[in-house]
Amino acid sequence: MGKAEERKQYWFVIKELTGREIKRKYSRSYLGIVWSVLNPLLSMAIISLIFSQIFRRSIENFPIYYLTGNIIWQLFTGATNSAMTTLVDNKTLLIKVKFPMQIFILARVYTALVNLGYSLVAYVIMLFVFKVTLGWTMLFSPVIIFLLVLFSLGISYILATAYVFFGDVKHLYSIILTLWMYLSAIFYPVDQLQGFIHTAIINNPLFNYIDSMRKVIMLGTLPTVSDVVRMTLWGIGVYFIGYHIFNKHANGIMQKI
Amino acid sequence: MGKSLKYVVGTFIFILFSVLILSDVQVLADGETAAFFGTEAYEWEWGISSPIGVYARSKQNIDTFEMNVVYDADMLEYQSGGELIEPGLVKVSASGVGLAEYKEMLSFIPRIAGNSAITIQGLHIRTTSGETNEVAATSVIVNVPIPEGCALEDIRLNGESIEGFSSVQTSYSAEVAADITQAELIVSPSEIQTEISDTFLAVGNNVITITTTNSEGKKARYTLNVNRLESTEQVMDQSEEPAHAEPAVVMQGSNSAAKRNQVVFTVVMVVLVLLLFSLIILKINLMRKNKEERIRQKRRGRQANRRAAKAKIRHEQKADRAVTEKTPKIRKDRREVEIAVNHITMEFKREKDEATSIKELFIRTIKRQRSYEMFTALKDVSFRIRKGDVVGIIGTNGSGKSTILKIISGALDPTKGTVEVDKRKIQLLTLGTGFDFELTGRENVYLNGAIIGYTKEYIDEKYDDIVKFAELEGFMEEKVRNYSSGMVSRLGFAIATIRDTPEILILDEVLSVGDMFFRKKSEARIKEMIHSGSTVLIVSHSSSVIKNNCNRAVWIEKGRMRAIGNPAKVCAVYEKMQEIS
Repeated sequence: MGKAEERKQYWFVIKELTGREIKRKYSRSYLGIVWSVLNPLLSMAIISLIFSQIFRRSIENFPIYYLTGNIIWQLFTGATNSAMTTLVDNKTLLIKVKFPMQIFILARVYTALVNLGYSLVAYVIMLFVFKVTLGWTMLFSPVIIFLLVLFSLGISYILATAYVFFGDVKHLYSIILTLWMYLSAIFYPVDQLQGFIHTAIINNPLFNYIDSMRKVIMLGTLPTVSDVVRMTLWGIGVYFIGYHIFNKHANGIMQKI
Repeated sequence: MGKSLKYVVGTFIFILFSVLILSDVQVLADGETAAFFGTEAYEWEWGISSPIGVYARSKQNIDTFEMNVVYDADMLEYQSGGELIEPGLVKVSASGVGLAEYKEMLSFIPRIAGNSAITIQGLHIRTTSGETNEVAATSVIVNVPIPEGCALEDIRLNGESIEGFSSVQTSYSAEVAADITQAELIVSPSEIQTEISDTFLAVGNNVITITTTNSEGKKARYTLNVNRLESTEQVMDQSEEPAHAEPAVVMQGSNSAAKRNQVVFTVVMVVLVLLLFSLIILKINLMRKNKEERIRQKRRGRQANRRAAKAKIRHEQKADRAVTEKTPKIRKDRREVEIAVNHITMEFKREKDEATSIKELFIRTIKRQRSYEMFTALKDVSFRIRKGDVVGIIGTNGSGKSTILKIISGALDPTKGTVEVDKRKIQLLTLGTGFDFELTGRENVYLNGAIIGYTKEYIDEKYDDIVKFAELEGFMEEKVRNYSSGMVSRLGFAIATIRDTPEILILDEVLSVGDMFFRKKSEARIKEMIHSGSTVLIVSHSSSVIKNNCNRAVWIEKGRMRAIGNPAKVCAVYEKMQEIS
């Protein structure tokens, strides 16, 4: 098998695994795949209705402010949470396979990306509802998402490795995620805060991605150079660290499983 | 056809939902801030001062607001409540309100009886939080009953009585032909004093008012909306229209237009909801139909299977005999070595009383209590498997059989020693693993095929063969959850062995499961592979499986190789050991 063929085969496996995750999710419902758009759409509609009543004074166009943060957050948590357990979930397959184990992690992250695609359909509808003017800066958003995917992949590698050895990583991570979420300024304005918390949020890589996304979508401005540099460094840096950790422990993972 | 239709229906439902949600959100967004009147319609008496409440409401507390109340100055006389800008226009405003709702009572004296409209226009609200809102106009109809002596008995328009005329109703509409440019009105009783407005008719809607006065000087007004039909030859003269319309009437027109819009909106919403529901029902029906179809196919499939199975058994029995007779005598030295296992030792670093939580790990690391125990799963195992061999690996549970398989297939690296084998040729078959029970048989074929290394094109090509071999025609759209365990094994076996010649096939406890028919069939298939030169590695803890299928056997016990050679002999030793323990 040549390199290109091998890649093609890996890609096919990733697609099949992703298809399985998505089909599974709604396999017992009548509307099936329609839910994957309907679900984010309805929850976004509800969230917008609720939040347009609560926080509207302090933030302009609050629903979109919230939703922008939320889809980025969902991509990250969806990817890392599911990728964390993927090796254990697919225990029986791991022995059979002839490709690197990374494929399983890639497939889960890709699933989160596909889910983001569905959410984006709903999100675009919301943009129209709340009359956000479309601008050319929005074309920059794929770059942000790509860097975020790299970042999520890196974290996923680390988590998946850790989870094989320690089951309680899962519980610990859910607590960390709660803290992380509050430090990502998803539903409040950052300017209201001062001191240590403010510094923590500003230096939070996820806030970096969320903030850049908001700039690109809502304000119609490009993220600053330092934003882009930081996003790139975080994305690529964490990806390589995660990849390295995963590879180093690959044999250990097999033994443990 | 079913599938594409499903998608179409699904998409429609989605679009409908989004349209509904969109329009809903907009209605809610506009509906909160509003201007309105105390009631929906007013009945006043001629010449008596009458009150009307005008309201401004906002989502948040109102700081300042202002509105214009427009009325028909001919018919109503303004008395009090606001600030009269000019006859027909009253301004109501307030500042520093601090409430979410503001009410002002205005009073008017009706000077001419009949229907007229009062409209709130240009409501501007500034809330305490600094938001400004502008609200669309709203109107209310004021009806003043006709005083005695003002009532008409009949109105004739160009010789014809107005349809549905009664003396208490004051507004009517009528239609005239395109060529009539002048309305000729005859009212009765003729002794009553009447005053008729301009009777020139433009194309489209025209308003003609008839004002009657009785002996006491009380007045009433009848309003006629005359629609002159558009002719094909005549060019519409739009500019004339507004000239003939009085301000009060324009307001009424816009009022009815708003009402019409509302009606249209409601109708559209109702239609959309109905359409949505019918589509959902259609979709559910489609699914039910598909299910029935599948069940029918299943029944047919079952019957066919039974017949086919009977025929196959007969056929296979013959084939079996043929194969066993034809198997050539083994001449080891000539064939090349396919798998060479050289002095393999596998050690797991296992912690005594392993820490399963980070806390525990942390505490132990600090206390230096982490003591490792080297667990040797395999110790110095070496054997060679030649091309075309069918080797059985036998051993009790936990003896290291699975570890050696993992090492051979490349999933694990041994601690010491090497394995010489072309890993790309290996096909590891364990039944039922890797199936997702929530997916259909077809989806599982693709998923499983992808995992064991088939390309999409290859699966597309071989799909029918797989289904046929597994004898699962008619079941493939069914979820694997509903399969029997025999069906799952058949499908797994079919997927794994459809490949033309898997050069090295590793079977992990495969042959001891499955029903009778399947066992026969799989054994036949494996014999076929042996015949075609495949190297087969069978792992089992059952000696009968090994004896029946293999030409060599390896007995591994507690990580050490105990015996290798003729299956019958090896199995005999194995059985003896088992009897002792």
